[in-house]
Parts: sequence; structure tokens; C-alpha cells
Amino acid sequence: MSDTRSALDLANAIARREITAEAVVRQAVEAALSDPFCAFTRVFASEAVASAQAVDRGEMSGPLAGVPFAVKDLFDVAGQVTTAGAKLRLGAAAAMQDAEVVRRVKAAGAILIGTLNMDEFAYGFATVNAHFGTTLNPHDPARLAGGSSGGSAAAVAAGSVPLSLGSDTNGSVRVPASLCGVWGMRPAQGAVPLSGVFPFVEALDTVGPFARSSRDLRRLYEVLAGEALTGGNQPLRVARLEGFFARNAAPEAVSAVDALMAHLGGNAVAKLPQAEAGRSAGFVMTAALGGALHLDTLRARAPDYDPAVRDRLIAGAMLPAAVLDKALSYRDHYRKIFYQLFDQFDVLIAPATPCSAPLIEAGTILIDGKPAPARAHLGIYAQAISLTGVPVIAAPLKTEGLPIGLQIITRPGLEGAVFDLLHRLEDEGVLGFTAPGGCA
Amino acid sequence: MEPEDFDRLSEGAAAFLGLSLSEDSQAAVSATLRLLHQHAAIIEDAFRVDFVQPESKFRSNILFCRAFDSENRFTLFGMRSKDTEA
Repeated sequence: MSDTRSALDLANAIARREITAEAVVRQAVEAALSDPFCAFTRVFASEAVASAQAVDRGEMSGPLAGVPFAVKDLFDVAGQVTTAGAKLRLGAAAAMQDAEVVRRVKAAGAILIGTLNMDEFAYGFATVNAHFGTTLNPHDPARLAGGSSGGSAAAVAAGSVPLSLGSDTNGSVRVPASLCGVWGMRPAQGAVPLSGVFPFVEALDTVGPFARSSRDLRRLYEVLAGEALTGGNQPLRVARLEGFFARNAAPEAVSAVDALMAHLGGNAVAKLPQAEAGRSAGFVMTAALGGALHLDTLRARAPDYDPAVRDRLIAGAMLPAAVLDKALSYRDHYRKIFYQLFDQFDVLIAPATPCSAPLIEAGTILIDGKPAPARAHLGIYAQAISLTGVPVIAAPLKTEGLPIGLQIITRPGLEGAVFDLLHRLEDEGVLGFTAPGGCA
Repeated sequence: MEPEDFDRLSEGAAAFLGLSLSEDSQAAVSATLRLLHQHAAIIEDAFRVDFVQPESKFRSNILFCRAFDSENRFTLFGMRSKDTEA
């Protein structure tokens, strides 16, 4: 078990020399090496301890000096192979340099502990990986952690590290954040650099942070984006998204939205009748563009893929160009319609997932009354937003039961004001991380 | 398309890629293709609803012009003012 103080508290304690960075990092390394949730895929023990000693000698500084973090195995780490969760990449050349986001977090003084499990090539919402194992949910190891950044969410929820990085193409930060009960963020498209991040669907790919508090999440986002957010005291107009975002919602997802709206004292409803088609456009784009990216490798090394991923990529690669063209056209149309909602509202609320974490053994959730693969459908509400390119924060509802998260959706430029609101809601006990039993 | 069409498409996909897929994989590819075509149909329907509503010629005109919004705002506003007159 690591020191489970917030990242900002740890950084302050290290800066004041109340605790050494080496002690903090050694605890994190130990937790990563004994990780029972299959969250970590590699641990850089000696490098991490050496960096911590450098912090303690005053040779490394920054706002996160000495704070441990870990990254989805999708980010280049100098000298390491970026596996993207795929066995077929184990023999690839090692990265020559860190991904830009890894460089930025290290430059802020944070210390990289290891890499984290994911769905192969980030194609899935489950982190069920045929080669590296299934990541277990720290709140109930019989349940899915969500994906594709499941290792990133589980490592933070379990208390192994206070901060981690993941990627979100269709919901791969928001879904595991929801199921593991931690904070996560899909930044606005283009706000955080993607260089050195293994691509999936470049038109939709983003890099996102995970944390156990909204203030830690904000600080890590600021490091990733390279700029401090400014808030403001302007009142925010908040509405819940209904229709598509209520259909298929389990009672806990509906209750989560109800609880937040009740606390805010509002009952405004935003209508987006095109949401289902928006989600479909994202689904088609992902399959077709993901399939196209992998076409040559599929031809050469199909047996080395995770079968569940390979079969979806093959199907995507076979989609007629006319279908993709239609999906791309619809995306442009959908974005315009979506942005019109911001004429009336500043913040839109929707569930991050249709339910809390499903059992691994079942592997399904109910969609339109029928069991459907969780791997493909846990992200239905997240995918319907991804296409718009707006920033979304996944906020955990404070609850005694299994965690569930909410999407706090806003327009680019309002992130600071929305974080201010979330800090208040966290302080008031409506939103926030709840440590899993036995992980406190 | 009928279910067997997706099976044939799946076989064609394997042939195109030069792969020999197991029966399970063929079935999974076929099921995914079916799902993708369902999503494509949802997008088609949405285009029809957003751009053409055959039960109302007038509505259809407004929405048709909306398709030109990024190209020709004048046309869009012209139709909106007609909408007000109606």
C-alpha cells in the first residue's frame, strides 16, 4: 500500500521535507510490484528510486516533485517498447524518447513508476487483454475495471499511485474512471499533444489524466496542457442530457444524475435527439479508421492479435468507403448541433457509463433489454460526446455502493470555471473518490 | 442485407486479407459487420430526419437549406423568415 495522500499533499510534504521522495516512491514501487489487480505491466523500480533520490538531493524540482505516476502502455517511454497492449509489438524497437506528455509530467518533477494494462490497441471498454490479463476492479475484483485505460484507473483507485495517464478515443478514460470511482478527464481535442502516443483513431484520440481528487486532476491537466486554468465566479448554466442518455441507463446511473442535479437545485433538460446517430458515427469511424490503420499488420500477423480485437478490426477494414464518408459528414453536422446547446447551457450532465461495473464472468450489459458485450457497449454515452471534441470530466458520485461516474461536459475555455464548481461539489461531499474496501 | 449476406461478406474479408479464420472468428466478424451496418442505417435515418422530412414539403425545404448552412447562411435565414410567416 502506498501513501494515499493526494498528489498535491504529497508534493507539499516532500517540498517541506516532512517525508522523502524516496520513501514515497519506494512505497509506490512496492505496491506496483505486488499489484493484485493486474493493473501494472512493467515497473521501473531502480530508475524510479534513483529519480526520487535526485528530488531529495534538490536536483529535480517542480510542482509535482517526488510524486509517483504511471502511464498506460500506449505512451512512449525512452528505452522501452511501447506495446499498446499487444503481444505482436513486444519485438518492436524501443522508443527513442518519452512521449511529450510523459516528458511534461516528468519535467514537473513527478516520477514514473511503470506502465499500465489496457485493451489491445485501445479497442475496447473492458481491459480484458488476451496477452497481459484482465484488469480487476479494486472495488470488487470479480468485476471489470473498464477500459481501455483500465490499468490507469485501477492503479489510482487501489492507491498504488496518486496520478496516471490514459487515452480517450471514445470513452477510454471516462469509462474506467466511472467503474473504478476515480476522477478522469477527456481534454478538448487538440489541447494536449499526442506526439509519442500510439495512435488508434487520430480524428478522435486524446490523452487524459486520472486522479483521486478534482484538485489533483486539475493540476495534472494543467501540466499536460502546459497552461494554468483560470476560473472565475460566473454562474454556470447546468442541464442534464436526456433521451439517448437515459435510455439503457441502470437505476444507479439515473440516480447519479438525479443526485447531482438535486444538489445543484436545477432541473433544466438539454435535448439532443441526434445523440444516437452521433454515437453511431463514432462507432463506424472507429471501426473503419482503426481497421485501416491495422490493415497491413492484419495481413501479416493476424494470429498474433487478441482475437476479440482482431475480428472487430477486420470487420472495420471491410466497411465500404461510402459508409465512412457518411459517418464523417454526420460528425460535422452533429458538432454544429451540439455546439448550439452551449447557447443555452455551460455545463451538460450525463452518466459516464450506463451502469456500475459488470461482472467479468458475465461480460455483458443490457442494451435495449438484451445482453450485449460490455467490451463494445460500456462507452455508449461517452462515445456520443467524443465526436464533438469538447472537454469532459468524469466525476465520481460519492456513494456507498459500487462506484459510478458522471460526465461533466463543457465547451473549450470553460474548464477552469467547471473545475471550480467541481472542487466545491467535492468539498460538499456530493462528488468524490471513495477508497475501495481494504485499500484505504 | 440478410444475415447470410454478412456471412458471405465475412468470408470475403478473410479472402481479401489472405487469412484463414476459424469458424468462431468468421462468426465474430460477421456479427460485427451486421452491427456496423445497423449503425450505418441509424446514420442514414438521421440524415433523412435532419435534412428531408417527406411528410412536410415546407419543413423539408427548411432542412434542406440547413444543409447549406456552412456554405450559404443567406439561404438559411431566408427560409427561417418564411417559417415565421407560416
